[in-house]
Amino acid sequence: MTHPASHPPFFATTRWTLVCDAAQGGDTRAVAALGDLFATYWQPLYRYARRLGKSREDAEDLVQGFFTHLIEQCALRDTDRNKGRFRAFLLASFNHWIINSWKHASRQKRGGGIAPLSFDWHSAETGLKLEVADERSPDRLFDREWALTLLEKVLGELEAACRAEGGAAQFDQLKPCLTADSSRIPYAELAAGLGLSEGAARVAVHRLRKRYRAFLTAEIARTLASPAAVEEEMRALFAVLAE
Amino acid sequence: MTAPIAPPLCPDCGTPLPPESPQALCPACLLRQALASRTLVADSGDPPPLPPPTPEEMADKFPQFEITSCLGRGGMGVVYKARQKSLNRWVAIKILRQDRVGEEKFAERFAREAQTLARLNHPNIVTVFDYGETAGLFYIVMEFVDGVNLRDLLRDGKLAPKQALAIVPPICEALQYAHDKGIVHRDIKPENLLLDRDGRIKIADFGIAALVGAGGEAAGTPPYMAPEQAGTAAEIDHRADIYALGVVLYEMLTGERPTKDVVAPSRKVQLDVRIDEMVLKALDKTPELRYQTAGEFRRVVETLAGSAAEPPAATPPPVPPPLVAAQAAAANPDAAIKAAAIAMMIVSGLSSVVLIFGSLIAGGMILFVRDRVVSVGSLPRWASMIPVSNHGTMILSHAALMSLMVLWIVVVLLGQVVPFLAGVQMSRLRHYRFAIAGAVVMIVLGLTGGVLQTPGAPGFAGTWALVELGVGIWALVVVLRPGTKALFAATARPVSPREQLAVTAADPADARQWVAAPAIGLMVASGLNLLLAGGLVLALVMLTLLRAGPFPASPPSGGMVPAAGLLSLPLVALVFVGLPALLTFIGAWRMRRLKGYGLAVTAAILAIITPPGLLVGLAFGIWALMVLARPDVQAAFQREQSRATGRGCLLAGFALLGVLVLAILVIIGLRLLLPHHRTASFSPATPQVHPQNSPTPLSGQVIERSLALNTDGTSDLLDPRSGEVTPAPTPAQWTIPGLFIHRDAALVETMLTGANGALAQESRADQWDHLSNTQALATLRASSSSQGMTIGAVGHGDLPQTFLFKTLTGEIGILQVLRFSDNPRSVTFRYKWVEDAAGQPASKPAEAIR
Repeated sequence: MTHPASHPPFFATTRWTLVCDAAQGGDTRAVAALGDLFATYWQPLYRYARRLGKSREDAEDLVQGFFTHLIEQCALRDTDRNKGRFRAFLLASFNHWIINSWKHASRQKRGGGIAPLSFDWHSAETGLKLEVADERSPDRLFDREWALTLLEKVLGELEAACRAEGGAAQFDQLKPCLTADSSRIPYAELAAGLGLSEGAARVAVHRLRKRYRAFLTAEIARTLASPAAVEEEMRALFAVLAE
Repeated sequence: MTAPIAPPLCPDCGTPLPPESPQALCPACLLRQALASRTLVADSGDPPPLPPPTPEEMADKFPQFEITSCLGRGGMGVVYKARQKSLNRWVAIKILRQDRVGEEKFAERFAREAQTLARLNHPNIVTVFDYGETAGLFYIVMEFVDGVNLRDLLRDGKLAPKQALAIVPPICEALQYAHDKGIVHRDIKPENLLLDRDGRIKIADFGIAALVGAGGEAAGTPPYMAPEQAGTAAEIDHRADIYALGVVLYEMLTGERPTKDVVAPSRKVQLDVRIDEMVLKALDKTPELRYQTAGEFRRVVETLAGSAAEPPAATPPPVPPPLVAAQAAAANPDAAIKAAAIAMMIVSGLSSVVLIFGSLIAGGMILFVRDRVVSVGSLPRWASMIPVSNHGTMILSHAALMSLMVLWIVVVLLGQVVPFLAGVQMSRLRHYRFAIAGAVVMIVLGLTGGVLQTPGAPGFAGTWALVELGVGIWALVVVLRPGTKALFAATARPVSPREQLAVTAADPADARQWVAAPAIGLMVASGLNLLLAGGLVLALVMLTLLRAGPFPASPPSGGMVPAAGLLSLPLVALVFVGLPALLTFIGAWRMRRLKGYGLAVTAAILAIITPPGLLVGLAFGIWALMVLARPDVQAAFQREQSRATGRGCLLAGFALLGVLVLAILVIIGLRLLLPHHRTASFSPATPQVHPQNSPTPLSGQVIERSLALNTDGTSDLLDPRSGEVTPAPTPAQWTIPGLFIHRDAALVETMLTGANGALAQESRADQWDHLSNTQALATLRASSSSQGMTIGAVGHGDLPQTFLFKTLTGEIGILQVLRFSDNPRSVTFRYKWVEDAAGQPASKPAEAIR
């Protein structure tokens, strides 16, 4: 799965609450930014809908319609915005949306002046183990997939950034260090593999880890109302993944 | 992204990777690391932006060294690990920071300082070997300390008070030594306190602070600097080191550095208040109020530490002179070690494979083609090890035989696995003591293998045992060479800070408690083994006495002489069970007193692999190995035993070797002497035994007889010459001359046994009608009967089974077992004479008579 890493992250204005407010006001750049956010995180929603028993077509319609709805409505609904988490907000709004769509039993008009996002629906089906009885609730699964999506995006950006610097091979060799305890990193081996000195390998690993943290923090911050809660959100995501 | 069939495991947390893992990395670990480093990054600051010169870049500047890696960089410069080619020893090369180097008279000052430092010769101070300038770089060549520094330890948090207090006295001792020579360190801090693999503490960078910091300027590391160090350098004396050590101690105890107004450590952690007093005194702002000498500080620390337990050994034995290692290593030792290691792996690996396949094939033969292999004597030679073999009367049921064989395979494999793994570790120059243990086990295996073969005629198996023995001894000699240990130490796996600390603060009293229980368990297991071995020997000796003589069914080709064969069984019991048990007992006994580490490991392994005590020995052996693997226990062993480890092993190994060689010689002697002796005393046959012996040619007529079969499957005894039948003899009475037929229902085996003088050979059924010059006939002709000897032949296949026999007086006949009947239990057979004692053919047969 390739990732659209071409979107330049503009950290200052991508905080989702601000983006939503701005999009509500009709700012086209903000609409694009919201689209970008949504493009990143629609998959967990789609899979959530599938897990609730929706057919492919219904799930596609729900997600596509929800996006339109989001742009129109997000600033109005859930004033406390679930303590500022885009993740929780998105799921809560989506649940509302599903119920409403059900009530009206009518398919939402696609678009609404906004070009539909082109989604890779097929890839969203991959590994969707609908038949497997999973004791975890769809909510927890949504959170888990959210976390995976987020990491996917962060690592995609990280890889793109590394490739841009010409260190594609280096990224491939060094990326296992992102999960390893510092004491367990075989610097000498890495250095030999990369044709660097051990000292240089250490620095490269350190840089990569630092960069990864920066990207991760930025991405998480994007989905929060307040950057102060990054640590807390990170713990929450870790808890979900470590289950 | 497709889900693989078996998801790979995360190398970090060991859980299966979810199929949608980004970049094939474990998502949970990704976040865990992000979380972990977020807390760490806060105080660690930026990484070194510029990597220090790589070892390759340095290589040109230091042709006399082989620079392998960069160990790190500090405020004073960069340190490289290097091998000094001329002496083949590891050293650390410190390149001093460049910015001071340009200063006036630096070279002169540098030389002066370095010369002073080189005079410091103390086991707890990193020794300076050399210094100099090359290509504008000022460098110092120092002793390479393989281990960790105190900072690594503190990164995991504070230490236990007992451990912290154990670290201080050696530092004080070294400081006192240097202070007596007028040298002040001026930069005591956790980074400069190194813990080597043997648990020794060494102070690094003596006086370098003064050297790098220009004269008069404050040098040092702020949190560890005494207040007077902030002022003018002139006021700094040795008491600044005591202050810095106080800070280090405070940090070890509490995990934090003292704040400006020092908070008593006991208010942060639970501590003896007397420790507070001591730490606060070392940290006094006024030098005059501190401990005035490092020695005084040390005494106080030792008193406090002693109230909890004995302080660790005051000073470990002096540094092993690097020269010894260098001399020993001169002849490229790693190649020899690796060769021995690979030999060990190959030999034990091949042994395992051969043993498994051999055992399986033999087992299969017994199970599926058993009527072809009625005599266990036709099993491979190693099977003669099983105490059932070769002796028809002792044959066990198949189930018992198979379970014995399985046990045998397990035991032998366990035995082979040890040298194999030891070889693997040894080839990587790791686990020195395990390598010793592996070599010893290999020697034991070779010896037992050697004894179990027939030494008189060493076939492939015997040669292989010799190979095992040779390789084991070779490996042991290579490993025990002086200097080898140092090589192992140099490549050992990095020790974690905690392990290192455990070594440094190891307390023999604790270690004694650790080893007590498993050692007693090993002693019990070995006692059991000894008892069993003794019992086995006794039983076999009794058996020999009871059944003196009549052990039939030795293989037709003439295998073991019964007496020697029986003797070899007690020997097997002694060698395979008794000696290892004895070794285990001695090892365990010494282990309780923390002596003989190598022997203790060997004892544990032997306890695991020695069969009779297997269950007890297995549990306690594994327990003992686990305890012995603890770094603190290892360190305690080292403290208690300053002599080279492995010497005990070597002595025990040689003792074992001596006993076994003696045993082998006895066996060979018995085998060579016994048959001759008997032949000499009983041959030629005495006519008194058969007074009716007639010189006339024997009739060739066929005689058919039926004999009653007794409940034990033995028929009555027939004297073929006179036709007399004697009631079935009990085994102890097999002294009457004649033939009897034995049928072993369990093995569907027929056996013609000639008691007291008759020889028998199995023959082919078609020989009854047309006797040709078969091998069996030739063997029989050439053999000599003698009184007191009882040898039989085992028949194979379906009835009729045909045998050739020879009487004590030399006549040869042919006998054919026709059928067995159940009611009454009897055996029917026919026989006729073939040739008389002079070798003349028997006269033409008339009609068969009943």
